[in-house]
Amino acid sequence: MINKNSPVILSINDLNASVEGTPILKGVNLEIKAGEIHAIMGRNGSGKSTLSKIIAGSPDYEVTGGDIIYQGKSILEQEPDQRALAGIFLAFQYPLEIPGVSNLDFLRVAYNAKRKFQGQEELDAFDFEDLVREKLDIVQMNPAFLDRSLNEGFSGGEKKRNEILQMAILEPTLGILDEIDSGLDIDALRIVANGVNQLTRSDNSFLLITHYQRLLNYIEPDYVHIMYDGKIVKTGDKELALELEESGYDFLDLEVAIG
Amino acid sequence: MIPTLNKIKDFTKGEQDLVEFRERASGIYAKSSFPSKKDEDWQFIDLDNLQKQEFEIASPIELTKQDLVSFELEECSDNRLVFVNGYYQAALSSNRDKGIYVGNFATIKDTKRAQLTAYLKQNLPDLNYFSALNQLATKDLAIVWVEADVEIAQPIQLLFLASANSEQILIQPHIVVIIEPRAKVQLLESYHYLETKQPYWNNSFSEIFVGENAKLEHVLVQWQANNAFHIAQTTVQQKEGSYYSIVEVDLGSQLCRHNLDIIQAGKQTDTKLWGLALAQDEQTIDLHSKVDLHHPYGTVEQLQKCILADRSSIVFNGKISVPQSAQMTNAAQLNRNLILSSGAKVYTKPELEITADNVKCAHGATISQLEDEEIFYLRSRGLTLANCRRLLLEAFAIEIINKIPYKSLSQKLTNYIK
Repeated sequence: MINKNSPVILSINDLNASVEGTPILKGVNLEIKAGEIHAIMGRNGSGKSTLSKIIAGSPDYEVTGGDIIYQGKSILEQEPDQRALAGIFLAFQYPLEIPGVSNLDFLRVAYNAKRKFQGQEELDAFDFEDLVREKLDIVQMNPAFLDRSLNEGFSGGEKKRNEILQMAILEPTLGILDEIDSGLDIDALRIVANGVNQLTRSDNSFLLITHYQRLLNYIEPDYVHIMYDGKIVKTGDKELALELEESGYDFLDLEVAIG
Repeated sequence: MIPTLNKIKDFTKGEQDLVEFRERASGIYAKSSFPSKKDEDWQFIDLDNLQKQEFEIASPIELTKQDLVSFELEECSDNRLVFVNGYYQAALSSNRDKGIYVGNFATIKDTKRAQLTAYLKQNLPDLNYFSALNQLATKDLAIVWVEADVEIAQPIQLLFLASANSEQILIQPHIVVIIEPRAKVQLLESYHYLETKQPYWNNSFSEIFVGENAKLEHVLVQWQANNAFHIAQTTVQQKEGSYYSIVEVDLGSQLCRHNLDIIQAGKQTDTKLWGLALAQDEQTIDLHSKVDLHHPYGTVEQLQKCILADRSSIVFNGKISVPQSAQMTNAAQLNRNLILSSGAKVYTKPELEITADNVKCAHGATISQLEDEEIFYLRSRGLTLANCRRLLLEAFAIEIINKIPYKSLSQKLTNYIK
């Protein structure tokens, strides 16, 4: 939902980044206001997943220029956990399996870290379980998954639903979904998208990273950006995604070549 | 320097029924020498520091019930045996259940005493330099003797405490556990310390006999002071249809060596070995296990997990031998290591020796570190780096800790890891 008077949540200015000396991002500019849903589309290797990880603070990349301003402050020097506590959440394309850590315990530790950061009292195991059970409905998840190890042996769809469950519990101000649609069948996609839609509010915003327009039928973006060779080369509304679906990414080569 | 044989003779004087028992060991001791890195079995452990220390035979000290509070297992109330610096503490021990004897050799009934000495004579385990040293200096025994068909709901606790304040001492507990046919028992053998200013050396030896169709669930906790030396041998003989499991947790001592030898002396015998070792600073933990199968339909399951920090080192040498006579064996052995620092060292040697042709056997070892991707994932959910490490360490260890059937103990160990 676009509201010109909403405060800016995220502002990325001329961001350059590289991995092991190879430049990946070559001057990204992006502004996201409260209440907005943005989608970034692009080919594999265009830099869109890199961008999402850099916002979350992945140590794998080196920022070589530009800045990321979140709620008015540069976050480049902040650790991933500080960014998370400040309200940034990245739903991973490939959520990690952590054997031996129970899903429920992990959710509680993460939730209480946030409560503590906000100066609130931590929830005990019982109260927290009540809270989780409520949130399970958002992604139609079976409570049995809470007792299993974090993502261990989960199917692709179950992992993605678990990411959305984490997001529902942590209630981020900026939710970044990195290819949340990859590996999902149509039913799972509907459930995941429906979960995300239940979490949108006028004071938070979302950034969807996707390869396919399909996801955007279920989560309607206010803006669609196209990323090409480490830069956002085109911005439009959801019609742009449809255009792209029709013409494929090849037209970009031509447009960029012509300049 | 080890106390001289004359000093040891003085020490053991007075206990006549163990003369033969001691003499066999002194023969072996006389023929063997202090192990060095040239011996294949000892090549990854540096015993120089142990060898150059001066040790005196420990003298008795008196403790009160209060001293014991933090070491007593909550789940055990009826049958407990307490030794301090190798000396039996009658006032702190208890033996309430019928059909079992939990006590020492000095105060055992005469009939039982004769039976026991005969038993020990019939079953002679292989001795190495250290277990021979233990046995030749035996003055008393810690005994658990469970009669046939007896089942006890609560665990039996064998608690060995050390306290070395004025001089460096050698403590040599000798344990005999006899589980008669069809009996079912849980046993916790634990080593702890009270305030201790001097390095001490615990050189213990446990002989365990599990009778036909009997079941023994053994938990062993080595939580010695960090300046202690802990050398131990455990030999287990399992009769037909018996079940023996051990959960071994090694946390303490500057240098720890445990030899765990198991003989499956009958068919359809189950053996389960689960271990967790945590080493930090300059600690060395050296774990040698050997399972000899001689009969068909035996099973062995072994999982040893190790966590290493700082400049510590851990040795795992696990041998399972499956000769021709052990057809239809099902054996699996795995050693997993988690290294937290570039200065730590793991020496692992999972070893299967198979000559039988109709068996199912597997073995392996893994060495890993905390993965950056895992840490990033957890941190991106708001957990600090320190919390992530704690969570991942606990996750690694929990598989073994969960095998301990006593909540109070597993909770204590989990807290220690955190």
